Amino acid sequence: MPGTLLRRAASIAVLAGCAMLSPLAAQERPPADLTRTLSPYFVVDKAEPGVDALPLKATRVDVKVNGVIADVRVTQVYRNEGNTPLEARYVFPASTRAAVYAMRMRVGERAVDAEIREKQAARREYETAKHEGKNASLLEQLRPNVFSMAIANVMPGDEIAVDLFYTESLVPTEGTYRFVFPTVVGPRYNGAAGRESHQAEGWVAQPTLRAGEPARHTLAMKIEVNAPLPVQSAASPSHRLAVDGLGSRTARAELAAAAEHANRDFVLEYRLAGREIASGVLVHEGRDENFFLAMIEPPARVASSAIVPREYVFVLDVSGSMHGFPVETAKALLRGLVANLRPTDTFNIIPFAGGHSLFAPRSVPATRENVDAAVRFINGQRGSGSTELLAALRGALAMPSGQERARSFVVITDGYVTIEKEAMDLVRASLGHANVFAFGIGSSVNRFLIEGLARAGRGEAFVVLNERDAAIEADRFRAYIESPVLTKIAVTFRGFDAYDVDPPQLPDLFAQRPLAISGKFRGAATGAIEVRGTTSTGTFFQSVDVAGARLPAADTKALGVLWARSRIATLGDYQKIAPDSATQKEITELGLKYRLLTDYTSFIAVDKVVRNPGGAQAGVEQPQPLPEGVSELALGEVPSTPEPEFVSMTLLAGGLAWWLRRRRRGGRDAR
Amino acid sequence: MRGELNARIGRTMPSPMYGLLVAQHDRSSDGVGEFAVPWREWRTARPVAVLLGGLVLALWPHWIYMARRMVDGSDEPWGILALATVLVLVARDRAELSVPTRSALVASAALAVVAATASLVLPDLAAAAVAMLALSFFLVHALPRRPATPLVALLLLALPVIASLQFYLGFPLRVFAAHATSLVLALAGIDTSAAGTAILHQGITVLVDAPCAGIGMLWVGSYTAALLSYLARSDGARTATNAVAAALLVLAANVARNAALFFPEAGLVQWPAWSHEAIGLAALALAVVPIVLITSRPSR
Repeated sequence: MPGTLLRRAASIAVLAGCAMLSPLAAQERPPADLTRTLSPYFVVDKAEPGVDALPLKATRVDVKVNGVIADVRVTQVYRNEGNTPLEARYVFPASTRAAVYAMRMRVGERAVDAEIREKQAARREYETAKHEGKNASLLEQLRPNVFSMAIANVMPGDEIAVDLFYTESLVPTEGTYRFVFPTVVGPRYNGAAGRESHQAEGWVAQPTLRAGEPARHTLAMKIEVNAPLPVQSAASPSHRLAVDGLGSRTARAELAAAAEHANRDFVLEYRLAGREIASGVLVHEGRDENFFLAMIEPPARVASSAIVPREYVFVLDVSGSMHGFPVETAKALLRGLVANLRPTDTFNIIPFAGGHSLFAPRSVPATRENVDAAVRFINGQRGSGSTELLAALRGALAMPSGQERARSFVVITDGYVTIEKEAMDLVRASLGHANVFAFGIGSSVNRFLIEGLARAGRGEAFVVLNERDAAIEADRFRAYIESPVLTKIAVTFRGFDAYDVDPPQLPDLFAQRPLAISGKFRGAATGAIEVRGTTSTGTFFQSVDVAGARLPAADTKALGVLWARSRIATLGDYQKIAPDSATQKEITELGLKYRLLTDYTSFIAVDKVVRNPGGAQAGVEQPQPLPEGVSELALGEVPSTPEPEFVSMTLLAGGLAWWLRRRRRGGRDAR
Repeated sequence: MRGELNARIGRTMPSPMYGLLVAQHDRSSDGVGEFAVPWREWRTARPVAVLLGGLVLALWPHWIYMARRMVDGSDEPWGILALATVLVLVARDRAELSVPTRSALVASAALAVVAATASLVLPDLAAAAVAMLALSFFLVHALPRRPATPLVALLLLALPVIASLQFYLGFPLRVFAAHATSLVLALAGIDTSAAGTAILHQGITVLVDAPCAGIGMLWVGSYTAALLSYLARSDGARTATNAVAAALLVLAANVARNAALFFPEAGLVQWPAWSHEAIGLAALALAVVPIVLITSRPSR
């Protein structure tokens, strides 16, 4: 008995000691986000019994395009088919130009319109509602093209639909309008904690489905195009699509609900009949502010007779996410690009993954021998390993160059990294007089990085969806480089009191597309917008009469949010912003004033009804499918040699044993 | 002779040594084709079945644990195959079943008590192993003419051991496989080196990770050796020799498998996806054929 008492006393002392020491231990622990490496991971099914780990059941997209403005409603339907209340979280992609201006949560018959709040305030409001047991939804921006949705207190059997509304302008390139709706966030490489390729952002650690597994939710889409001229052709290079109304001014396309649709960007391309009036102005006269959006037709591309010797540095991503189809597409593209070079050009190739190497110590002339050697070098590349983009870019930008040559960097990647803004800042700071052209390779590339690199590098962005398009894009690139459409562009306003014009400085125009200028104006919408620039044959001047070139549009209310989105992109999308800087404050004010989702403003909707007293609930992350064509190596998996399936092994061993013993016995019987 | 022995078994309680002697005597027969035993012989097995049922009932917490491990995803359910094999073997040899000696029954019951006690202080797997030993002890004494060691081995293989084997044995096996594979590839003229569990070749890393360790092949090899040792009525020493030979053959086959798969995994060749499984099975066949030949070899 005394022994028992002694043991109990000792146990209590140990427990008390632990309790007293635990706060000290907690203080000693460094913040989790600084020490954890956050990376995508493969999902484990039914990890928690009774919890519906796949609450997002469907995504429906309704698109209406009026002229050059697309208005999009995305409806996400969440349903809890388990027996435990849920907090559902879903990270999803968006168009890089999407101006998200509203959100609505529908619980049964009730609908709650979301409010725009500063990000931290919205987060606090959401957490409060969550703990109070109320239905709440929070929409946050993680990147200009990556959003997250959180839905609290989804009770067993509940169905909650969240509508989000966005608008974007569609500018035709080479006469083709392109509407893109991304469906999946590709698995991002996030280097080890403490490295420059690492971002301490929890969303990167996404549950991901195995290669070949379709998404766990369906995707359906309806698109209506109302154009000023008849729609001549419309097709999707990404999805099988039925289109009605070709030849009329209203065309409709529909994609039936299916999970198989949700593992790649949806792309609709259409052209209008006849020669479109490319120059024109859209105007919205509001109560407090007036907005305009001008589209200025550029000159036709003229082949240049002057041959300027150029140096090309190709930076090729051969990381694990590029393994297989993407790297083969990239290789086809690069072979086309190298084969298109002139003998007077020089070039070099920098393949990169965890490290990077060089095709040659210095750029070499594009002679037949060098091109052949480069093709062999390209063919020998395989996709595996990590994606240390910054180190590769730094190495490329630091390469010595001949002063007499115009230099172009060509980055070929899927863009599955977390350091987009760091890469853009690096390009902007180290580029000098060179240009950067970015090629996104694959079915669901990170368009934010691709477009941002091109923007920072005063170049052009290309997206190659498949190997078939590689040759076409290589030819386009050559045409762009040899004969830019318009350079040194300057815009002036005569008799038109425009202000807060965006972009403040138009970059060189390589592709054949209208110059898009948005801004505010005072007074009457009269006067002219004048554009000057340089073409390969001389100077260019065009004057557009604001009153006379008014474009037809059913509704121009979207011009305000489109201008604000464009302004926010100029201010902050493509560069790192110091916390609490004036720029951050300006973006926040723009977000709150124009009710726009930004890096610093979020949408929050809270229902009044308490559904889940106590607020106890399981948190689940909706898994992402692997983008079409992307291998499991994208999640940092190193190639390995797993054993055969157990059933196959036992069947083989059993069959062999039976057969051999039968033979032996047969032999014995014969003797 | 067999009728005489059966009569003696029914009357007396043979010692384990006696069972061993009988097994030695019956070694010339591999036992195949003995399913044609008349139904009436089940009557002699009925008391054994009742006692066995009692023992199985007494050990129920361990079955619950094993069943849970099989269905909750924490282990592979391969033990079902070993357990089913033991059931088939006992059914096949039911004519030879006899009630174990009193001392054997007491020992089985004592082991069952130890298993129940062990579950309070030891990990569940260790307690389940003791429970399996209690069952083995009973069956070995209920089938005194059949070899004991293979039966014990099969029952131990019925335990949910794969996760534990991966945890404790997986890493050394992976290191061995990586280094041996690298050596084989170097002999074949491929410039490789091994670092831990990885094989390196011109900046490419091919990992010998947990699913590549060979644990599955080792289990299948051990199971095959135990089953064939039982059918060949191998004694303890012979069964142990068979088991060691099977393990060595499987390790060698796993190295051959890793070496062959290195080529497609490192991107040196492009083979269709199904070839991965085919190469693994071919490597296993390289081990299973000699295992069958060794375990079926007549004793001196």
